[in-house]
Amino acid sequence: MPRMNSASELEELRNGVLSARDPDKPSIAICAGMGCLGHGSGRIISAFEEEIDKKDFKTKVDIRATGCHGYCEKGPMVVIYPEEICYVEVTPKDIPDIVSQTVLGKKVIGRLTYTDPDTGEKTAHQSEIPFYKKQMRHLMGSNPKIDPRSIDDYLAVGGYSALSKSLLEMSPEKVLEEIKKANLRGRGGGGFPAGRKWETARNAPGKEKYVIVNSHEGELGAFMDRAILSGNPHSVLEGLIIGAYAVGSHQGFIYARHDAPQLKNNIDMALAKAEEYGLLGKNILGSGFNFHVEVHLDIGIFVSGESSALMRSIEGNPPEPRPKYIHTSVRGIWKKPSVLNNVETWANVPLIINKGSEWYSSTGSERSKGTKLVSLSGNIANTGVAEVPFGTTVREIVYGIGGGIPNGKKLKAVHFGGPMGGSIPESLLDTPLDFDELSKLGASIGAGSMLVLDEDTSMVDLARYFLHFLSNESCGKCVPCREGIRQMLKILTNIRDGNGREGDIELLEEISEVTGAASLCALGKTAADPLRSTLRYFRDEYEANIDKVKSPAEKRE
Amino acid sequence: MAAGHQFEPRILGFLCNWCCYAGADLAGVSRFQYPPNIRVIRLMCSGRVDPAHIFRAFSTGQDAVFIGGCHLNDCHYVTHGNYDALSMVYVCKKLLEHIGLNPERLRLEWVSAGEGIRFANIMNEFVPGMEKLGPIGKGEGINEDELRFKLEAVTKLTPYIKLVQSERLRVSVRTEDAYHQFFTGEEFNRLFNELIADELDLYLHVSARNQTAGKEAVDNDRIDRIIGKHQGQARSLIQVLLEIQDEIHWLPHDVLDRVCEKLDVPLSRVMQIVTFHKTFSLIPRGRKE
Repeated sequence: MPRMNSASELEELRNGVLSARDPDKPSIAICAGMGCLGHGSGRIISAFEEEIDKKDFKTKVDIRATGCHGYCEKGPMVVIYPEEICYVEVTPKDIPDIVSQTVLGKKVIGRLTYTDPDTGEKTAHQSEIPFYKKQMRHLMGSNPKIDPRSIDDYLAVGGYSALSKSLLEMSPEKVLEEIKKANLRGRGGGGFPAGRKWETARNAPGKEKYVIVNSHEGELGAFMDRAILSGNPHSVLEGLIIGAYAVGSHQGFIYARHDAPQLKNNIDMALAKAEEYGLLGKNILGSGFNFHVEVHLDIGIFVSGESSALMRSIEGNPPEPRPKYIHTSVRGIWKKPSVLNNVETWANVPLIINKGSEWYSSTGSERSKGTKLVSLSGNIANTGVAEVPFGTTVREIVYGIGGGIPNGKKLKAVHFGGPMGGSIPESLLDTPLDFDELSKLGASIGAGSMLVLDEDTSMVDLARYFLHFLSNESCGKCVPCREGIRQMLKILTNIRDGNGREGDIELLEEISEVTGAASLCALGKTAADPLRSTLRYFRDEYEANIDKVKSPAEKRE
Repeated sequence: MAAGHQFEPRILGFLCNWCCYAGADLAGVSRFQYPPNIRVIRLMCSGRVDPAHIFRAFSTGQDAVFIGGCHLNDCHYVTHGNYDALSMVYVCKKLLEHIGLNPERLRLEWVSAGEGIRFANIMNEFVPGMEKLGPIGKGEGINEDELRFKLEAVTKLTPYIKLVQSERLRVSVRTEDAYHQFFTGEEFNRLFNELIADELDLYLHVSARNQTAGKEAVDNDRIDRIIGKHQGQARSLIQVLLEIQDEIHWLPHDVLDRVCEKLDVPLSRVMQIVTFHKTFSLIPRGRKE
């Protein structure tokens, strides 16, 4: 494959790919995301291959192992095109039936389709399943149509058109302006406007600048970044190249975890393919813009997701944060301006360029635009990754998409943002999903993990669990974090075990305030957030735990 | 034997500031004659001598260690540190014996500030005794590598040994007799064998195995290939270590040395990274990791 040198060559190639495809040719898309692989979709893929081989249909049917479809609860999931017939919880012994009846006979097999647990109604198409129906899948929508290892699949859904548009038709300033107008906010947790971050880096002195994809995703209960990056790596890469163009950077990094081999393979493959096609490397699409990407795999410790720690790690040092009087966008890797954005943020960039900032900001709430991926887990009927526009109420996500609480239990709280987030109680469930609205309630949205808790959950236990996690993950560089978390954990353990004392809650509040004020990085600053938010809404639980230990004599007084 | 080849034992002395150091000073001022083989380190109390100091001294080639403190019950501190020194020396002598060294190489004496003559007398007796024993290791017939290996192991275990000492080897009555009785008794013997000797033997066994396993695992070509893949750049340190760990499942010392040399980074930085992350292992792991 020769490198492409202009926009027209790219379009030619895209048309070539599209015309070579027969839209009526049956193709089978098998979800091979993390969740479905765990459910055994690997065996299903090989069973399909065997079956097709046996019947000698190789030329008539395409098989595609795709990235995550999002509905992990009902995995493994198989979608058969062109009719888009969707089967859930498929097992290897269903394969012969699917091939002979659905792929060839175009008949729907009733027992494999999704059945609504309330009405008993059967749904044959993916988009009609309630879990999908209420979503707005801008980023995840193309996952079932794409084999992450094939760049042609990405081109077929219109991939890299945003890249050619920005490189060849727009100036870097124009790209930056568009992102700023779209009000794209960082999806990693802070919600900091990406456009402003890029602008700072662009205006920072120095020739050498870096752009980085943060795919560390150490947050407990978060699994949406790997769904995008391993399912549709080219979309993230495209966003990264556009960002680099706007910032004026010629070197990018993808920071991922070493313990996900599938992710690594998909990224490596995507980089190699993009380079081969001339979408990466020197003189991209003949525009004269050079850009290279390096993959940096790291060891999964929580603090490496913090910007300055992550950058130290890329330099080859231990991931310890530094005080950020000067932002990393001015002084990052090797003291050069570095733009760090989350996977999801980068994946949004091509959308904005393609469809314009006006289209983009038409969805979402007043101050948070676009869509957000949330990973649903905990006591919820439909575990999985959902994509909703900002402004959707939490109730809608939990009940409309998530299918509510299983086993007839009542909802107690929803916890956002993992160990550095917070919980909101049932009574505040009508809050819209929004960076600022949720922060106001003390439950910052974080990277987007939503942990749904039913009435049996002890909030004291929950707060203790997160602190325990953080006490293991604190890097130990600054004392307030290292020791503060330890002391809070000690007191909470006492309260949980029934050894709490009067005044413990006040002491916890005091320590959490100091830890928050004096720690170096976000890990320490927000370590007490789950504790604070549970204290805010579930203080009685703490008090009840402490009261329990009073001797009967004391209680009589 | 020609005078030039006469063996001169090197003795390291840890003397307490208040008694023995002053006693040694007095011996000098009073011009008492004694052999000059001892080099002195002054401490505030004999109780501050740590087993790690002693084994460090031996591993750097000292032939004997002398500890001098105040007479029992004359300690200048309310903590009576010289009792701590006493129990520590009992345990260390036992350890020396266990690894095949003559326990007489370690000597504890009480010398008060006025006893200059006593200090000189002790030295006059100690030094010839050590001359007779010969150089450390050679005198006992242990070869140099083995000695270094064993002393290293004891030094590594020092924190554990001190823990055992404070938890299980306590003498409730602070008299010389009670200490003598306990540390020469059957009970101490049993505790020492069960808690310290066994642990030490196991440690020696495992580290001997790791050492050979490490030597076997070092396949310089393989490591050079991994380093070459990253163009031998120091910033790829973590990547290189991860890939090596992926291949041989642990990071033997010789491998780390090779990495330092090739990437031109100091060992301290490599160790900083390796010990920071739990993923890296400095000892071989089981098949299932």
